[in-house]
Amino acid sequence: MWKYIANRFLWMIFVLVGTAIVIFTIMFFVPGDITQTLLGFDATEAEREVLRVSLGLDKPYIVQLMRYLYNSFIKLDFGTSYVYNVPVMRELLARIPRTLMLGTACILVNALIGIPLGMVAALNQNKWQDTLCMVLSLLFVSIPQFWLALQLVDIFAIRLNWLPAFGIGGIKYYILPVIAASMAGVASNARQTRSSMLEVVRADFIVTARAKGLKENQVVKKHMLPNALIPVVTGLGVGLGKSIAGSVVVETIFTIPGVGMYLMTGINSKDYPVVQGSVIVLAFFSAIVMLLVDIIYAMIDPRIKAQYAGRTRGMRK
Amino acid sequence: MRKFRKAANNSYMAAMNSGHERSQSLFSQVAGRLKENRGAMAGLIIIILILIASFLGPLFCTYGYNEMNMSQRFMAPCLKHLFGTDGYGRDIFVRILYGGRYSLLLGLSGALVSLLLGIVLGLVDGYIGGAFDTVFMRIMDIWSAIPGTLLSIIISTVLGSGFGNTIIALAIGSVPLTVRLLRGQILSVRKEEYLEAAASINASATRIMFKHILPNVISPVIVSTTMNVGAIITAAAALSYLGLGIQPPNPEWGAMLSAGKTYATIYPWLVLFPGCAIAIIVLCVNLFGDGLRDAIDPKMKN
Repeated sequence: MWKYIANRFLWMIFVLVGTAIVIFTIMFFVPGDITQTLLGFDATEAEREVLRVSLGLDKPYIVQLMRYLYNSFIKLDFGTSYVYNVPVMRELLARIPRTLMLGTACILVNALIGIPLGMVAALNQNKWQDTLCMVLSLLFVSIPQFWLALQLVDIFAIRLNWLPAFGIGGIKYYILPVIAASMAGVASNARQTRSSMLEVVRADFIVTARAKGLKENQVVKKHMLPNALIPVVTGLGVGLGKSIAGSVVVETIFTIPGVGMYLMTGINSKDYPVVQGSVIVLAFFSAIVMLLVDIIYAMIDPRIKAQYAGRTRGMRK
Repeated sequence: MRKFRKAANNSYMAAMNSGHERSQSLFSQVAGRLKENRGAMAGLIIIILILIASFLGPLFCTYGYNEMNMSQRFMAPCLKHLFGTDGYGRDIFVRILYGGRYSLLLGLSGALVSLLLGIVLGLVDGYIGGAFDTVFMRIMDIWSAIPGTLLSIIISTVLGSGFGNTIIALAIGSVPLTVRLLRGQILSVRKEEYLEAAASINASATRIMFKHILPNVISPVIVSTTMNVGAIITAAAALSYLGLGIQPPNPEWGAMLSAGKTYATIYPWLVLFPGCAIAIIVLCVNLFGDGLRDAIDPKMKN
């Protein structure tokens, strides 16, 4: 098991370095001259050249890339923002907790509402509860997140004046963003739970459990759920990864100064270190989430554990 | 003689009826099951109606989609302007009609481009296999490590706005998913005898890939691509909302939302109608996708 985790961890680092290379390369080939953004149109060519040398932009691609990788992964330094002249790492560290809080809250809401809804639907297949759940979830999967956010702000913040419309502060400030960001996830989670519950509902071991005379809620709790939840865990992980990436939209609407909004400001002002740093951080967190999903998966699904144990034994021979 | 033929015919009919379904073409089976699914058919019909309306509708409207009229700004929905007017006095109904083109075309072509890229990469990878597969799947891992929305935003920044660039930006995020799905399918048919048979009569690699492997592995990929269309439509609207992708004054629904959000409280129709339009179209696509999945893989339904 530890070997599996270590293996997955090393692999995650490799993927992150790959991500950094990809992002650096993409940004390297963006058309446009950064010195024009920084110095304006009326700077002389000599002034531009001085700036390029001081930013290290005169070096060839491979040298810049190597230096970028060395700085980001060994020195944990993502460079300095061109526009605000603040170290990107410092700014990111202040912003990460907000994005993570938003993501974690979303995933909790997803799990706590989506899974029970899906269970209710599956246990009452083809009855009105099922139809209601499925119609609602189809509807919420289809409503675009940013539109839902705008409507929530309009109703609950501006018309009713119950909750703040934007910014950060106490828990109150997170309620609307979390609802807006998690509704689609709740819906798809309910659908996922329903279909994987339905797969086990008629399985032989459920018949056996009932035949043993177990009470119905015992059958559901002890036999159905553990088997049905395996794909749901993956779904939740993917959902968390998505909501971390989707933080760009929600944070922009609710002006929450998190990583996503930082990325958007970086894009709008052509601030490359900011863009690269934010993308690497967002990719880092979704990679961590996927790693956790893999580990949990291996813990709850005995097949994977056995398979892996078998493989390592084979390799040792 | 005649009796014999009749008997043969009967046994043939019996074979047909006793679940020997492959003899009927897969396509007509799927179409048959799809037709019985009311939700899917409703979705499909509405999509087709929207497609027709968005191309033919503006021809019959009194206003152009970019026709400004400063004396009629922010008019509430009325008979003259069904959905009201925006801050430049433009008729929102016409703009929404016209904007349907962007959403549908971006969604369909984005999904199609990612499907084609995914098929080519997946087939090549699945066919070559071995060490190439190991390296290739690692590249796919890196590709999918950057979340799709993020990748679309970055690619769209790099390529700039415009229809073609937006399609590429939207498509690129979902390629690894298609590749992975296809690879899994190919691995499961790799050892099948019909591939050996094809190889033994000296069929070329391309022929084996496209004539023998592809038809046998394509169904789940088509389902996932259909499901993807809805996600791509939403992503396209989100891109224009963020100021990337299709730009104003083009009447893309996301761009209309972004322009209207400042006045949303006073003039709610500015964001109400574009938002509903996106939700309806995505809902229809999802309904159709669900139906298609059930029709292709009837096991899933129960």
